[in-house]
Amino acid sequence: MATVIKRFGATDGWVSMPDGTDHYIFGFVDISVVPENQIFQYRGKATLLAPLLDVYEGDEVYLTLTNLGFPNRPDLDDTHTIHWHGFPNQIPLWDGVPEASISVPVGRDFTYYYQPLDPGTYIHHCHFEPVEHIQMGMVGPVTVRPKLEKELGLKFAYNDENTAYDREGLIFLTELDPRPHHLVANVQEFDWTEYSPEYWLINGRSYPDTVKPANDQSMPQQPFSALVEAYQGEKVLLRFVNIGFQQHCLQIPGVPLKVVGLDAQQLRGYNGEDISYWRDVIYIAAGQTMDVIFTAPRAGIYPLYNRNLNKNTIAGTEFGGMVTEIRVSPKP
Amino acid sequence: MATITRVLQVSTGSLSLPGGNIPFWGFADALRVIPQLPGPIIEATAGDRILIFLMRNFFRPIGEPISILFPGQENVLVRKIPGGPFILEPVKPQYSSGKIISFTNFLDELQDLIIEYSFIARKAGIYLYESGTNPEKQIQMGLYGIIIIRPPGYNNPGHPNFKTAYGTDTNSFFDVEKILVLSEIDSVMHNDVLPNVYYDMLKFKPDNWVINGRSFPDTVNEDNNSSQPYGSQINCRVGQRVLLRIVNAGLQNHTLNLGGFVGLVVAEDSFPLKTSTLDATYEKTSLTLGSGQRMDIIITPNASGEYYLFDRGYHHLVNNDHFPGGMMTKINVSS
Amino acid sequence: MPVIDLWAKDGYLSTPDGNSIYFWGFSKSETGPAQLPGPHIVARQGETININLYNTLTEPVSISFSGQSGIMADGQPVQPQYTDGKLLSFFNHAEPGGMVSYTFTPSFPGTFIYESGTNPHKQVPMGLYGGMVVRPADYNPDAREFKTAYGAGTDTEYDREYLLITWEIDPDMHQAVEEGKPYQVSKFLPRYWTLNGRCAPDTMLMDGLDYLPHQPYGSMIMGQPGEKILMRYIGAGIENHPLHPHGTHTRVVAVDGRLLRNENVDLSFKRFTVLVGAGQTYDQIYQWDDLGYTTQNPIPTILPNLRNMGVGDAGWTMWSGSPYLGVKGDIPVGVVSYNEFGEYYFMLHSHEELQITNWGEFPGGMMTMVAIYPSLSPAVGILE
Ligand SMILES: [Cu+2]
Ligand SMILES: [Cu+2]
Repeated sequence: MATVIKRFGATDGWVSMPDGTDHYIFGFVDISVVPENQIFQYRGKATLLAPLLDVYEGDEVYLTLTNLGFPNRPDLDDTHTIHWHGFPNQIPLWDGVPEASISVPVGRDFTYYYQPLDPGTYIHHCHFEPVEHIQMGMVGPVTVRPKLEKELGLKFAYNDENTAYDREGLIFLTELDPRPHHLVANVQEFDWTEYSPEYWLINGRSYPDTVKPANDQSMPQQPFSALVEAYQGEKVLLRFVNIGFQQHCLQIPGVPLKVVGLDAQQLRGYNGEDISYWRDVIYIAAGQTMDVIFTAPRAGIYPLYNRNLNKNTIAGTEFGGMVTEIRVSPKP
Repeated sequence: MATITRVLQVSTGSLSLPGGNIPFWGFADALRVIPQLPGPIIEATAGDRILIFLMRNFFRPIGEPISILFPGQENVLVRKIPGGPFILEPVKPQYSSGKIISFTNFLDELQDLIIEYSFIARKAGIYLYESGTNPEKQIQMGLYGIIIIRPPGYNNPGHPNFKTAYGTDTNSFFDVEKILVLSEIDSVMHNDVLPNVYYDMLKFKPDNWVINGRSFPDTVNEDNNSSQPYGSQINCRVGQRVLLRIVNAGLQNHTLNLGGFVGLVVAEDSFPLKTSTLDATYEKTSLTLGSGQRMDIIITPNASGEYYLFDRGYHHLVNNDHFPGGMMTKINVSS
Repeated sequence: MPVIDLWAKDGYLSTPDGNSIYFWGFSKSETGPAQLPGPHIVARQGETININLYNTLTEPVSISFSGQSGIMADGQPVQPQYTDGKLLSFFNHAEPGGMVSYTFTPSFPGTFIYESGTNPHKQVPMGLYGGMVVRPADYNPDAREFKTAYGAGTDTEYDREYLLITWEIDPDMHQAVEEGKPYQVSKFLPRYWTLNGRCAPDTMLMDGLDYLPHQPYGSMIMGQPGEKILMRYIGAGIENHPLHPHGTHTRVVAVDGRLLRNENVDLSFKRFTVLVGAGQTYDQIYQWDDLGYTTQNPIPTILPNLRNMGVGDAGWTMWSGSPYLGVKGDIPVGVVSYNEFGEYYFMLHSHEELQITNWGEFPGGMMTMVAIYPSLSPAVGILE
């Protein structure tokens, strides 16, 4: 068990799509190691996705949220929260629902405390006016690693040797409707019942940007790559997350997928039965996560994409969107 | 183990729907020439090699590159004349300027004559085959079909796998089998699509809801020789085990209500739920299938009568906004 | 034999933003209001029930009882109804001004939907649906091992139970029906999303309010730490909705009124978000366990000065002002707290977040709260 101390700043920023358009976002930025007198340099530098919170089962996590304000919307004094989506037996103080506890005004800090006991894939997101703040980009991944990894020195999704893997990839799904982003940037209201996205994203990017490397210079505020690379025969864990407002169906033709966990719970029956199962299509709803393991097949490139094929588009102008690649190399 | 060989073409054709006829693109058996929705059913036995030749269509080509993708099949091989590869090699996505333009090797009808895909039908089940090139457009235009893979011994009375979907001990024995391929059709898109021009899928708004390419009441008509050859009415007797093989070929999710019956889900995505170590079969009255998903269900009617199977998304039970229509069919149970 | 009368009639439902929307619903009696959802039907496994449908609407109405077999209508097996060879109803219907009498014997316990089987593309989105709970044959609420969803020995014991029915409203479609204009379901675009026929914040109000005569059922989930709270979800709309309760996972024990268990093999699973599919039901057990923080065993962080924090920005809060269960702290002046006894509130909502608005305005729609009280009367959380 370790003590993990993190600090996320809530602010705004801009993301770019492959068609060259830029879109205003709200989001978080990791300022854990930034000296106090320099944190304001991170105003306007929110990233999509928000920073990964990557911890071990049993860790004591102190996560401080600092509201840095919106330099692009100085008139807007929205508060923010962090909601660890799916945290078992949470208490309201750290659950981040403004209507049921507290939220963080501009210029203020608040420290959330978590001691996660259940490994798996979770989500964190702001819960202040969630339809707006989630669509605007205040969403990020949370990984809780099992103790078994430390005991055996290998990688596992859960405390079970049947969930061993060699490599992992994040498939974090959201959509982007440019209209509310544009309206919010211009101090106008959006009727959310008219929500109709034009970009579909994996890890905050639209294909072909999804396969660019992590921290690519061309997209400073979209640091997460969705490219998955493995050697033939390796076990690959894909952590599927959907925090958009639609249901999605992902497939990798030619690669059978074993679902070992749902919503950060290993697939085990009441009496410990192994109820993991196989699928060709991962059908995932908003607010769900799924842990999926596959064996890297013969060397080659395997597209991963949405079988709701209308979503594999860049604003209706060309192929792209919710697509990435699994690149398998021959055994070294 | 046998080799199952099919020669297919892709052709433009016409679909008959309640609102009138619309153009579509379909797979056709090369000898039969008429494109159809869904494409011709391909049947094989686990262990067989499936060999599919996709031939250039000189008469009614759709006018853009075409390909076939086989979701659920592993290690698909390809060769092509005259564009190559000439020796079988693994299929791979095709790129232009560093970006995928096709999920698999394609036939360019301006240059190529024939492309050959082959793979070993590794495990029993029901699968889609579908376009891997401009799939958002080509699959909506009609380029999808079904592959059934039988367990060995399926046709052999006395064999433990006889008349099972997944072999003995998978609780998939059946008396009557019906394939139900769900999809939706956007007639505006069908009329507006142009070859080699990107179609703006933000405009996608289906207005027809089909089972096996037909909307109710056409669904209850018998099989025929049209471009929509497969009916979907189910005829059975009390006490029979009826296997419904539900495939969602559409781009959207659909929920099929079993018409008052309770079905036993025996396989999902062609993975049997009952294995040597676990019986994970379960019962449902309605099934939501994501795009590309398949479910095998056994229902056992215990009373004679007429029943309807329908999309529980009730807005899909209409033709031109009028009930009844759309994604619905009938089960006739005789005593 | 239990006899239940359902009267199909019309009425007006109200939304928190002041809208009044014409709808069709079932009523318990000739003089009672149409209600949304229809009256809960609570039946018992193996016990034949009789449901009389009286139709006061201007078109035929029928009821489909999902998951039931051997249904009789006026003494004959139910069957589809046609006019001029064209399908009109999936089951025997009552003509306008007429009635039809259904009888059946539920052979399985569980949670089921009942809904119109006539012009269902219109009648179900107009409101003709309700929930049915079938008690197991050995059900006995006074003995813990027999207070179960699926029978003794099925690991489905519970302390309290709640029914949550999802649905969505396109007011334009309702208005078209009211004014006799064409009903163009192809233009369906919901503006409201409901739990038990109400939009938040009305979902959090109690049952049977005078000013919501057509929407008698609240959706506030209440319990104590460690209790097994049975949540029965029913999807009555034509869309699927991902319901996400905060606080903890639910264990899904049954779908469509069928226990997830084969012989000794348990197939139940835990989720933090369950996709409630159209026409489908999900029985789940929610069990929130205290992390153990009390004033004697304090939280490992410091509660900041609340004047520096956002508390009740909208003028109200459901928070107690304290981190501890059963303790009330100071709420900043000018903020109304709806917290009674230091209870904890956890939001339960659709994660397709546009659905937790009323015509685009947050908060609203398909949202309620789970309230964990330090102690709570056993009379709360009983379904009748
Ligand atoms: Cu926020
Ligand atoms: Cu959430």
